[in-house]
Amino acid sequence: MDTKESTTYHAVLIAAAVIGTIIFYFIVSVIRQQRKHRLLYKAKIEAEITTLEKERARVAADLHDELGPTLSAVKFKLASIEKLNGEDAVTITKASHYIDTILHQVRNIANDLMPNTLLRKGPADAIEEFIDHMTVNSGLKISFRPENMPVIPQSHAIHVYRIIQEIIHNTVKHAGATKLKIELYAHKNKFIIATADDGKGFNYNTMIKEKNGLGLSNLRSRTEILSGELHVSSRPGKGTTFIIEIPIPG
Amino acid sequence: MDTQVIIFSFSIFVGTIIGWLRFKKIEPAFLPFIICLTVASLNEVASLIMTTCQANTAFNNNIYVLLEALLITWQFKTWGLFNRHRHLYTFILSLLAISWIVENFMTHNIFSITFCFRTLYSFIIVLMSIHINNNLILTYRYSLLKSPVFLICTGFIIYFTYKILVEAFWFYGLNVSRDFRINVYSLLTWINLFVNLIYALALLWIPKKAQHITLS
Amino acid sequence: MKTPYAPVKIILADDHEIFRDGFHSLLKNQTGIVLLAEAANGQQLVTLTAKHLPDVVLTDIKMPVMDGIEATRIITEKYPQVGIIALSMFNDDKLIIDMLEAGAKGYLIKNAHKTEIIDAINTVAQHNQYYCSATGIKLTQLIANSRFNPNDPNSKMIFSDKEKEVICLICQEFSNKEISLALHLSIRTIEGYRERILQKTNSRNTAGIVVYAIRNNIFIP
Repeated sequence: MDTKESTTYHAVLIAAAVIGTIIFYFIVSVIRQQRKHRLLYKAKIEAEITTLEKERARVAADLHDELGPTLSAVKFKLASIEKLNGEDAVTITKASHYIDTILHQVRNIANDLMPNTLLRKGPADAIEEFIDHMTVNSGLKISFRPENMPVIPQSHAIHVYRIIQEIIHNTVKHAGATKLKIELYAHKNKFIIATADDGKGFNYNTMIKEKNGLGLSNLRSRTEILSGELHVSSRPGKGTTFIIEIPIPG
Repeated sequence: MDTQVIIFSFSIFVGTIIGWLRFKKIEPAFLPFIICLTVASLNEVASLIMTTCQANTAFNNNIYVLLEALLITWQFKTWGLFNRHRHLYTFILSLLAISWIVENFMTHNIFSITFCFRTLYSFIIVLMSIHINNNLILTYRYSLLKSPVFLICTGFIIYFTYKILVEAFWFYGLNVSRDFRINVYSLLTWINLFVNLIYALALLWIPKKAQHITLS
Repeated sequence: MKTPYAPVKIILADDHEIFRDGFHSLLKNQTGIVLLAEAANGQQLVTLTAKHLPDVVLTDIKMPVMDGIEATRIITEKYPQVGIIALSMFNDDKLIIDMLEAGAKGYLIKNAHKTEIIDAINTVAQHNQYYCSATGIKLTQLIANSRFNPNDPNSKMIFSDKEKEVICLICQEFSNKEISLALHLSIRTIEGYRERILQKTNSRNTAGIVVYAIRNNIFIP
């Protein structure tokens, strides 16, 4: 190479370096933007869901504490009516029973919104209670085996509970399954929720696009809040499996 | 050829080995890419053999570029790039195949290194990689730097952009000497090394298949 | 021991005025029970108890200022002759256990039937424990495993084998008819057994039998 070519060669090197720097800068700034965006998005979802849960807890407490005693008072008033002929007595008794039904329903609604057991005894017990309730009402046979449960901080417990609640609801509503198996265990430094049912499965891509597939996006949001990973495996006719891995904090 | 060039080119084996070692444990979606790395490794061996036999390396390289183009396009399909435009996939494949055939059998021959096909497919790959990366930026919920797809596509962008520039110099040399061209080409080998290491890293970071529980 | 002719004096504590009003109406025509006073929180309850010395106190668990558990502790300590009945909205409230362990002799759910409420008051006035008849199986297990034990530990009851069989079936929520079929005895015989068991375990209803059985290892759930 003579000097003229040498200069051209150096020019080429410089041009290549400039292009390289531009590409490098582009990639770095993209990564940083994405990180910011990711953190913002996560914070936003977290705020939304926390507000939602607070609302629920409030309504549940109100239902539990305010409605109950007043309904009891009504029942007492009814019971205090005396000197009735046969037909009226029957009516009063029926009315009393209706009030019992209302109380039962109020209790169920309140519990569904925010289960008391969750706050007092932790997610495993709350989930068991929920399962008992669902098995009675739906005919789905659910087996739940929590093994070497790690300690879950309160802030995470509600999300774990909701995730399982959502999965059970979805299975009951859409899967047409007869059996659902739920496992909860710690593995290395992660906490795993694994479920499998023998229902009719679904097509993941179609489900994602559907606006009403809110169940899946709910699962996704809660998993993200916990900084976890969600793996769905489902094929039409082959049942559905959910695996959620959550890093244990601390 | 230069020892340095040979060593750098053989860096592709790192990625290939990692890919096949991990193959059973990882998501099957990366298969085309691993096959592509394997084919690239084989091509390096073939070039080495051809060179030691004093033969032209154009033949194996021409075949290699066709395979590379088709495999990478297939990989993009597995990554879901053509989910909404099925016909685009067939169109690109046909375009690549047809232009390769035209260039290697009609306008030139298969024993000479040509320019058009190489530029065309590099260009297409860069565009597809940019598309996927943009999508990833907006939808990916974890650290982008650790996403294998992002790393691989970025590798593609870097390598193939430079490849277009270098190929241009190689053929439209503007009366430059052979030394000049070789020097410019050696730039590409450095970039090739860099990108091969990125591929190896990406393969290392492909997530394992999620464990499944069985209903019993 | 309360003489059977003097009316039972009670005090009610609940932070919901409407509930207290309703309860008031309930006792309107009951000659055997007299409502001396009403409290809106634990503090008032303790003061009123000190002042009136009732036979039985019915109290809500969650109240402002001082809750039912704290008030129960104080009253049990200072006035052990006063029987305390815990009132809860729902029949598997774990706080009931806390109330029992703090000194309550029994509990009711707030929408219990009038006759049951009166029965409970009279039972506790006789210094016996009372478990609400609508108690769920989980709560009975918890009660059996808790520190609450009003029974005299020295009086060990002996049960015949047949009686133990009947007890076990009762604990598994068999009805009288189902028990008679399972043991090939007449319903009348089973009813007789049940009466005897109720007396021996000092219970007013099935819940009491179950708690006794679990506690004394007659039935292992």
